[in-house]
Amino acid sequence: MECFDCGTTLSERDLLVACCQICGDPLLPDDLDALRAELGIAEAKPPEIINPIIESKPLEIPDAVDCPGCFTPLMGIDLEAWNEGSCNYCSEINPSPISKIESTSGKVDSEDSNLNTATKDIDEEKMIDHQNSLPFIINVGPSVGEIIHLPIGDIGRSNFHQILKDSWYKDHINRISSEHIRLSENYEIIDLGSTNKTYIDGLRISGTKSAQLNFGSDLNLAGNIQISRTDSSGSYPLIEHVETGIKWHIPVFKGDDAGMPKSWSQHLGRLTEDDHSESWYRMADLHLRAMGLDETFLSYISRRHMIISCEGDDIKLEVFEGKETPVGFPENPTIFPDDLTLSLKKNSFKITINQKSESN
Amino acid sequence: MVSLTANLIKPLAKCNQPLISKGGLNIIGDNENALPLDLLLVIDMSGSMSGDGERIVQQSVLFILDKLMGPNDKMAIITFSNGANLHMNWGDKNSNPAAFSAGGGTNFGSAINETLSCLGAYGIDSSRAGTVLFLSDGQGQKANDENVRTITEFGFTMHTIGVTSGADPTHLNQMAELARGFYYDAPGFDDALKAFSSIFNYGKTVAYAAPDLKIKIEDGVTISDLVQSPQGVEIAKGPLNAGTHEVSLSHLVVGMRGDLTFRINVDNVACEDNLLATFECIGGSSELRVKGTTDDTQILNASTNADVTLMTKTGQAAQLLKTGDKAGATRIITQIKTLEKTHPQASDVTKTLTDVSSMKNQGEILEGLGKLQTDKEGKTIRRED
Repeated sequence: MECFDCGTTLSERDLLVACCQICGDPLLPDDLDALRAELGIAEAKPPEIINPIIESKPLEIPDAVDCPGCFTPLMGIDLEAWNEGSCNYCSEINPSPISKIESTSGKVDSEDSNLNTATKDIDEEKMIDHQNSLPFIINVGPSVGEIIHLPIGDIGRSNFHQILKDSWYKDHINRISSEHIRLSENYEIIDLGSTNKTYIDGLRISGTKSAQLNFGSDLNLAGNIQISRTDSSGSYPLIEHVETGIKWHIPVFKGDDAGMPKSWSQHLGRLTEDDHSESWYRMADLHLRAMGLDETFLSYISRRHMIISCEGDDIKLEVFEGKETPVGFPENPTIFPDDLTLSLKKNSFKITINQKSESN
Repeated sequence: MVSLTANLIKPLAKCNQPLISKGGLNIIGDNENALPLDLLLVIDMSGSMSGDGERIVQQSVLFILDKLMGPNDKMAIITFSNGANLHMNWGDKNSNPAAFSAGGGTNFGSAINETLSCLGAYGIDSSRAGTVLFLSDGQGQKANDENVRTITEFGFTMHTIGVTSGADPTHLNQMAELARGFYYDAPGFDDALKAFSSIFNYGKTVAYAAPDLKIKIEDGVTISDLVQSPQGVEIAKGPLNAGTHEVSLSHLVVGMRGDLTFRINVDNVACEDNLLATFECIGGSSELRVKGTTDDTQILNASTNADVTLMTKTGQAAQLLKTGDKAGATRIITQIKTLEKTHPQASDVTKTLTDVSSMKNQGEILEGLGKLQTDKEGKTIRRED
């Protein structure tokens, strides 16, 4: 194979740096593939992904626990007594006693423990207390777009292990600290000194001051678990990026007594006006990369692309000059549909404006 | 604030070996406000301009003063034939230029000398968009290249309008390139008014006036073939050796990106992170680096920078079109088309270059290339007037 520009026969040296080493002409991707084939060099392959083996493991009983009543380290027969019901020293009642412990090894009988674990999973599902929990949308992994409920209070990896059962999540959830964040009933978040950090809208939250999680914002725990706030009233428009399945609600200004109408606005482009990633784009990009999928199609959406907005009953779509206009927006809407899909060449957004009820 | 990003085709190279590669530099400014305009008209008033030429120049100047100029803009006029004179000194939109009168030969050299005198007396002000507009309908005595290039040192760029019933577009395009401007084609006198408006409108979008790019090149490294993409303007042929160099660029326009490509030769890549060159422009800077390694697999699997490839190929195609080599340009455009699979902006480049290459005459092609620009997202577009 010869260089397009100077006609020199190309070699492995040219292939290495993707340039002709005589004239500097860049080699195009097709040329590189052809040269690889000609030189007998195998194509670059992505690293192999080994799927985790899912095993049923018995509950691991710690060798020692501190009694919450008297703070005495309980080991051996003291631990057995604690596991069966109460502390030998202060009679503090164990809120989660475990029965059928082998008397010497301290390990759970495996057959019974499996049964216990299975029963416990079902019980935990049933036990989700929607009164004392808040709904979120999980926006990463196989359950992307689904609604989950997190308890109000201190939340850690065990909460997520209970909720997200797919094995894909296991390693990602393990990065979450045992007590990672504190969630209050008005969606205020405090990071509890987590090892792998907490981010809202890409900004790290730390310290004792709480940060508000608003509609349309993304909450990222430990890097790869990302969720966004959802709504049970159905009054906040819901957008889905169809190709990735990530969903989020648009914040709504609900008007005021002075006659200001209800209004909302959502930019459907990759970057904000001040060049930061839009929350939806950050979630879509992370979801694709975490799943090992090609994320480059997202770049077909321009950094500043289009804005869908509403004031009162007047819904408008503004496409920035020179950007691809989506299909699907009614030209002269008299009665605006409850949902619509804006389709670009490689991406589409499904917008549900009037939700009938919470989907879960 | 201006941000600069310099990249090679690949960030890795085999160490203890020489390297030849292509590099790209993106310059993005955040100034969204256009600068006030200083417009210097340099107008051919040789004998061939009598009649229609005089009339259209008079009309164009009055149109600019009445309709286009803003309260902070300024204009001056030089006329030339055998010699050159300052016809109207710098003034605002209320200026009243004397009538134009044509006669004599066409001496580009004296016109450029008078232009330099006028700019020298006016001084340098980087907060204003200095634009020289050179109009001729004839083939004059060639001006000294170095004198033409000096125009940029005053923070001005020079655009040329060729009334192609008599002018040589290639010659006028070369003059415009030397002064970092673009060529505009006016087949007849009546088209000149449109070209005047076009250049004026372009001048009213300038965010950074003819900025200087400082290049600090490390020992054992040379940079050559510095080309502004997508217009294919040759900024420096080189080679530029180790040391500090300064080159002038075209105006940076609001909302647009400045792209440069270059060839780089490295005598020996060390087995470490190698600093090759540092680029500085309007307060921003970027270092061009390559990491040397002995691991062939790592280099093979490193991704190539498709932006640099696309910018390089775009500049090559534009330069071939300027020389009239449509066949060569079409071959490059076909290459760029293969990038469409992997680069989202490649299809815009093929479309705009194909549009330009299909234009009827060389004057139109040169004007079409001058109107190409790249927005901040890397999309190549053709400026509309």
